[in-house]
Amino acid sequence: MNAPELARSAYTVECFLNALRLDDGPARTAIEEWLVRWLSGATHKAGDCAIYRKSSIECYSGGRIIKTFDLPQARQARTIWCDGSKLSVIDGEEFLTTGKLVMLGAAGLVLTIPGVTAAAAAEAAKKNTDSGLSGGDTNSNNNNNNNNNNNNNG
Amino acid sequence: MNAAAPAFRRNIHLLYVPTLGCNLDCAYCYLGEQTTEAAIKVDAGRAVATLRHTLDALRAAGVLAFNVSLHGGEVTTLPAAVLDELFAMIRGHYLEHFDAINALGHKKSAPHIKTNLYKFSPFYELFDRHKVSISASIDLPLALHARYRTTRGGKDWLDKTHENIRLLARYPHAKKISATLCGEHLADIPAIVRDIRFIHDELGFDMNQFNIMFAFASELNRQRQGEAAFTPATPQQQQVLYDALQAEFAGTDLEDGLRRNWFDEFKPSYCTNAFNCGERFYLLQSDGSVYSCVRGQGIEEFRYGNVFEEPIDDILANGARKIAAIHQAHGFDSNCQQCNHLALCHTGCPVVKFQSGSGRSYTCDLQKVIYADNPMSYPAASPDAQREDARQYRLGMHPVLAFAAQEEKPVKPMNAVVLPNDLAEDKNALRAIINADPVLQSLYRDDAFVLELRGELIPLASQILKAQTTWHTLVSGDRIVVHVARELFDANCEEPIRNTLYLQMLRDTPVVYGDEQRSKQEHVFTYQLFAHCLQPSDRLGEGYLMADLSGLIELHRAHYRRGVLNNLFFTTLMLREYHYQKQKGNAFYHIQAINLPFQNFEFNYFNYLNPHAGQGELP
Repeated sequence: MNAPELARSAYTVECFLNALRLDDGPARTAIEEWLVRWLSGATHKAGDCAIYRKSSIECYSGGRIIKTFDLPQARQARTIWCDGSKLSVIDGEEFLTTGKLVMLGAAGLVLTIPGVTAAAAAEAAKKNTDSGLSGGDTNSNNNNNNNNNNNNNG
Repeated sequence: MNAAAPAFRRNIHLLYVPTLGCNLDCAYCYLGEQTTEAAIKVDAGRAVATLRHTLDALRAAGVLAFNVSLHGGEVTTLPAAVLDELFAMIRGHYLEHFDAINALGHKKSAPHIKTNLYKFSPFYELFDRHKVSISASIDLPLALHARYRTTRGGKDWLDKTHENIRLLARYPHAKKISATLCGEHLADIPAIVRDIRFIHDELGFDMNQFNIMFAFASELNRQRQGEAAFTPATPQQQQVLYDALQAEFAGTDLEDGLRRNWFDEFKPSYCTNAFNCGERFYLLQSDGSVYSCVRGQGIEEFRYGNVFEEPIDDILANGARKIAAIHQAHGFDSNCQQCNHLALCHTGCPVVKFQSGSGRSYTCDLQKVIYADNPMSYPAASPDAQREDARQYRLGMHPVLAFAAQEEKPVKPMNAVVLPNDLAEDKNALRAIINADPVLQSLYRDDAFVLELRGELIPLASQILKAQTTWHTLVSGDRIVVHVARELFDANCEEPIRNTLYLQMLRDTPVVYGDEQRSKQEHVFTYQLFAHCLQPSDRLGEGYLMADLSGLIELHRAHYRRGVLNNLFFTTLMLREYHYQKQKGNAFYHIQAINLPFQNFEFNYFNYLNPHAGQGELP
């Protein structure tokens, strides 16, 4: 694998583990190394993926679990999918509601490593310290109804 | 099995009294003269037909009787052939509606009867054959059984009761024993304790399957007994009994029954704690009369109608109306108004209110002790919740009081978001609004923009419609091309030459602005490329144009921050303008499309050539 693809896998896995709010340390490093090696290795096939749910990462190849990492310390309620180049979540709860009011904009995750003091992470963490969700209806909001950047120069 | 199962719109508990006749002459009977005046032969001749008629009428009215139990009088005064038919009919009813009853959480398959056991032995084989569930009534202490629960001739038959209880102990189907206690019974609580133990240990009946009832003042009993009428157990006596049983049986083989069953009648699962029992609990007599329950039999205020004379819906409605009238007539007791278990108890049995003249449950103090002993099963409402419970109860049961109340009316909390009550109408749903508007259909298309990333084609969906969100990882050098449906530039645009591909890059670093003072994603750049500058798509054919965005995205790499998502939106100039026009013209659209509705692509950017870039302050 070339350098850009290895970098992509390493960074995607880093974001994946950050989304679980896993603190840095030897245990995390060991998981991170295994995942990067697997997802960027020569045996990696299309469709191979790691899925986090209920305090556990399950690694699927050919539709079967080939490796499991138990993470009792993980602080993420949602199910997250990762294939080494992207992360994905399904907004299940929001759409399964029996009520008609569907709360949108709850898809975000905090992707910085826990404890990192980047401005964005700090801002997000102020609002979402428990769930690891980046915002629910806060910082994934993006209405632009002040409309002050129209370009009516046509 | 039953593909055409009927649709039930409500379900009820039906107690069937095939005869009021009884072979005993209990001193405290709440039915008064009705048990002696009943013509058993007449009842026997109509008992089966009445139940059949009623079950059919209920079914035709869309009402499911999820429980059909037999009560007296004394059921076993009827001929065995009649009981055989009744049991078969009830079993058939449960089987016919197995799924509907099971779906309600009830596991009914066998008939249930209340009996004094006087004729248990001769009916044993019949009960066994139908797997009848039996609830046997006795007096405790047993010495009072001999004195007060006598035959019509006034004879003591306690020895026979002992034998019947031994037989019941061996009976292989569901069974329990109940005892109704008056002040007279509670005069000798040690004897009650001894006899519970005697029945359990000596007669062999598992007294974990036992429950207590307290007699209440009954006008019909007073009319029959005069000054000899029994006195109801006082709250103090009820409490003393509860404490004595706790002291005696906690930690023994009867503790499970003590905690689970013995005082069940005073817990929220019983009819006595229903908000309005007239909405759910009914008693049917073989003459077709419908009353509230055994307590209300023979009392006009609790007679709801007759299944041979009135429609089922009218009878059921009468039940709810008459019970509400009884509760209203007795007011909303000041203690109940302040009680933090109001939502569990609902102020108690309306028949007892009617008989006693009290607006409060006759076992209120005992219930509070039970609640206190089981705080997780019966948690006390917080002060705020209690006020709300009281308000709701007053509004539901005593609306006149609710509107007349001088107390402070409820106000919407400061943090309550107020939405119009027609927001949730189907026509106002976002998808309905889109479906009704051709321009919005273009705006929200999920094939309008297709992103080409590392050779993969990724159709982009509206941010606010999609149910799955994906974050891609981009690195330096990635080729990113957007393919745009050609006709998109015609939407809301008479002169496509003025139209543009409109891109907005946002970053998930929140900023607060605008009149709403809302936290929003921060803008990084806006970019427009005029439609005529796009190239024909080299992947998607004639219907698409394309633009290579690689350089544009790379150009702004200094603004992508490590661990922070970037959010790139795609639309056209004219569709963007239409979105804001639509917001101005349609409030329902505005509130639901308050976040940018355009198709979007979210990504993290990793500059592997300078991995520490983007970790610092905002540029």
